[in-house]
Amino acid sequence: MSNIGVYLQPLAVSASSAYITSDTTEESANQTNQTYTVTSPSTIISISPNAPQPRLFRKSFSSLPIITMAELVLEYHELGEALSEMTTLDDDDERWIDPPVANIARRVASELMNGGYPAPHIFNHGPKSVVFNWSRGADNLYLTVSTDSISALISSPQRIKRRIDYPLTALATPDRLFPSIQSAYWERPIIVIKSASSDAMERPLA
Amino acid sequence: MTAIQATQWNALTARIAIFPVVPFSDPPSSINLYKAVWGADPDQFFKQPNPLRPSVAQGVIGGVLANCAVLQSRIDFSLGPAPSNSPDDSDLPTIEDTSQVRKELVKIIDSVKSGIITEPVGRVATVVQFIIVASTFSDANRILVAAMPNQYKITLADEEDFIFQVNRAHRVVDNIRMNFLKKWSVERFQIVNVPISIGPGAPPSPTFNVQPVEILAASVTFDNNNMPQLIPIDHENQALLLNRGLSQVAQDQRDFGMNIAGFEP
Repeated sequence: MSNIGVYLQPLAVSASSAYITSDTTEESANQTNQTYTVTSPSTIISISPNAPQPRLFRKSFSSLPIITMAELVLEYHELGEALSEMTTLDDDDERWIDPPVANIARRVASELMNGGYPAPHIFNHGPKSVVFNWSRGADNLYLTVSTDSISALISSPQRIKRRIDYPLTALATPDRLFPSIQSAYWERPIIVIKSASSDAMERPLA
Repeated sequence: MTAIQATQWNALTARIAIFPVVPFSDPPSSINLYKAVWGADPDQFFKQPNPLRPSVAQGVIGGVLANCAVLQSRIDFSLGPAPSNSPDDSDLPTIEDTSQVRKELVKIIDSVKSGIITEPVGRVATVVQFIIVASTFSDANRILVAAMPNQYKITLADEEDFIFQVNRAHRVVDNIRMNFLKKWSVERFQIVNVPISIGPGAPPSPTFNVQPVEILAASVTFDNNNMPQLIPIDHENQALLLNRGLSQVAQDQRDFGMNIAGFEP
């Protein structure tokens, strides 16, 4: 098929993929060789024209997650790119952040991703802090991350409803930190489903 | 009664997962870890575009697809079926040589013990999934029930999407509690081929008219991992936990009558 410019490109379908990369691309006269790698902790599948064989994957037909993990992970990938870009700007750019701050922000983002929290919007507050932002109706949650503390601020258009400060060491127990912030934001108890599995996106038993 | 297509448990995937106590601020390189374990360059390497995306090194070792994926919060050394040139695109690829899987898992554990991961580690996991392809749900259910211990056996007919999981957690090395998860399930797999047209002069792609091939399989997954620790686990104990997980797979598969080559206790 490749002789006429139509290439049989295997595609993997995975509802449970934890991360997906689409990487190398080499163009020739009438075909493109693309390699896709679909990766999850339980599987990594390489798909390339050199091995034009379909690779599986698991698809759950009888239940659908509210948001697929693949979507969530892609959103966090974009967040990671934004953080990287913010460290490479000129230091007189108002969006520039100190690399150590970016490192802590990535760590927070990584824990949020592991916990399955929706990817936040991101902006900086000077070079010394990164702010993650979620909106719920008119309310906003701002999670300000610096190299020595984490601060959660919940506000409505009228007022600041609540502010909670945590030392950076609170990140050592993300399974307690983020549900507590979520509980304050949602103004109700949060039910956390824990799992003993080592699969991605499942909250470990602590 | 429809004949069961295969009676040999093959490995679909296996992995050794390593979790840092806190997410890596500077994740190790997957290519370096791959080389440290397998002593060769990977066939493919995807560097990490940013720390929230994985870096992946991948190659074929002993007929098995070996991967090292590094994320900020975990490192996965995983094994899967190697690409083949099978003319039948509808085959579900599996690793028939389960002895090789065991051998590669041991190699990874030995590398972990030698200290290839220098960052503080708080959790490790040994995971293996075995499957037998089945033609119907009844067949898959029958295969699964046959591989369950007597105390869990239930009566199944043609029910779909059966899942049964238990965890016999207990304390093991250095008073660390380990999960010993066993999951019996019927999995559905879908294989899709998508024709695409690329390049100057290429005819337009045909209408998207994919006929996915669906395959049923009876699956038994072992996921043996320790509870997350805030105090780092030293290399020796990481290897002890991983080996404990691997030996439990061997013990369990024997107890379940799965007779998997290479996984004899």
